[in-house]
Amino acid sequence: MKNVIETHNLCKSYHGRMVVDNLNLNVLQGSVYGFIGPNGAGKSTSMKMLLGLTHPTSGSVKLLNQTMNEENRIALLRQTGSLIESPSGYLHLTAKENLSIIAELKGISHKDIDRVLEIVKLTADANRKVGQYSLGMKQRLGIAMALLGKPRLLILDEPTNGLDPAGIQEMRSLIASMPDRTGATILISSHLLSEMEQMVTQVGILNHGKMLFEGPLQELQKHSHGNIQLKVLDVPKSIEVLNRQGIRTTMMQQPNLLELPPLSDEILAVLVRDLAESGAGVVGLTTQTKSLEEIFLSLTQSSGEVA
Amino acid sequence: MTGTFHIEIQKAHRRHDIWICLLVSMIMVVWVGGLSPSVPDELANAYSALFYSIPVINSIILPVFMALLASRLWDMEIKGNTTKLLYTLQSRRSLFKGKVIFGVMEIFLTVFMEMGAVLLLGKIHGYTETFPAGQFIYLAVCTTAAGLMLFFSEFFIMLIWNNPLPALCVGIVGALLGLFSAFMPPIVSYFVPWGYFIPLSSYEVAKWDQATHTVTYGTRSFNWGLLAFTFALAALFFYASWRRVQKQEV
Repeated sequence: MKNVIETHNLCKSYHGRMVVDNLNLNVLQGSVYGFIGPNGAGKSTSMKMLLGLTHPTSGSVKLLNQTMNEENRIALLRQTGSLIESPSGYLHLTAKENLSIIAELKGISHKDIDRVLEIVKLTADANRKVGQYSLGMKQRLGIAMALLGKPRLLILDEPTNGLDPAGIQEMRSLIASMPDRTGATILISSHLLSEMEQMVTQVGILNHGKMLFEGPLQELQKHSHGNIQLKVLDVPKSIEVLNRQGIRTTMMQQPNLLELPPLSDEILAVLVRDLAESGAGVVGLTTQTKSLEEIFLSLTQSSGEVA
Repeated sequence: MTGTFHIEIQKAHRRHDIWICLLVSMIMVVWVGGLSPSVPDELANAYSALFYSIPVINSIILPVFMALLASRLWDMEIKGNTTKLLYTLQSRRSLFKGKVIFGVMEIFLTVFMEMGAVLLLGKIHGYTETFPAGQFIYLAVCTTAAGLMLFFSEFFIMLIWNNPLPALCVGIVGALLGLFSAFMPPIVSYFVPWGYFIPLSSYEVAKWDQATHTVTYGTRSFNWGLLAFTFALAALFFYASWRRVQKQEV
């Protein structure tokens, strides 16, 4: 499968401080690529460089199989929809008027406006001034602008910012369904791994401007397994079984709660069976998911870069 | 070119910028109209009086109005957070071109309306003085040149601060400085660009009769050097604004 976005040793420094450090990004066609990193990791700067909004200090960007330069930048970006940082919109104009301006700039038919308004559920408010919109509505208008003209690539920087829980859920479903519905490839950034897990197929983790991990989500999930919490009725019997199997156990502060290290599904299945047979009384088993920071830590502690 | 201009027109919808342009000539009509001559002697000298007054009025109101027009033109992009989106759909040159064409059109409209008001006042009040066509064209050109220079300087300030307030403050303070420079030795006025309307004027007070309070106006030669310098300043601010748009990271 072809890459829709490729960057080669992309760097950006401000006053000698490296914000993006030799970034090699590979976004597969038809994928939903989650670009994850804590605030200040360099996600927005990287995305701005992909859109030609910020000039790279060095390196190159290949978009839709063409190396981007000043000559072809606008032509390439007209096939791309984007939402960077906060949503755009002329406050004194209505959503429809705003979309009309974007449609004209993209050189597409104004008939598409109703379609995108419908997708983001703004049809009823299409003739209200954007200045009267809530942040969530502005965010949805930003998505509608990005979707105008059925772009081949969508670059969305934290698009769920400012949305209420229902809006976040709607946005996730919308983004996850985009590749099937329109064939668009999506690059989406977030600082929340939990949010990304529900909609992405590929993941790139950025920290201090460096790519720590790039690959399928399943690959990352191997790194996200945390400790296991085991709640039992009979602690001494449980410890006996665990010791017999050579599993290190820590007593938790709550009664009848033990903490085990990460275990594979197969070992866990055998352990639960043995505990049940010994009469330890398994009440609950919770697999802890590592926070993004913990994954970063485990990634950096292991090899610095995993791919 | 028509595409980018058309988009600017769409953006200007509900912003009432045309009314701001019309307001300049309306202020002039009310201001000068209130002092309109009525006696035959004054009517015979009326165009001269009008052409003497207009640059003074312009030096008071145009620096503020030009700041208003220039800052509003870019302020909507700041408030709407639109540049990040626009630069992915059109080149910086194209956006700048649209702004420049729209701004210049506003200046032309302002000058056109003001000059139209001159003709209207002459017609309504029945000025008997021969219409000075050459002076009229010169006044229009000078007003346009100074308007362009002020517009681009205020636009540049707006681009630097991304806030309309500094441009408006400079416009207001500039208007006051420009007016006061008219009462200083002529050389001083050359250092105050906001008031260039006055040293560019081709009319001056030739005689002031203290007993009858009668003013006789005379003409002076066109100030081609200052006019050329005004255009050069406008070009300089235009270039500085373009460089700012070209280099600004969003």
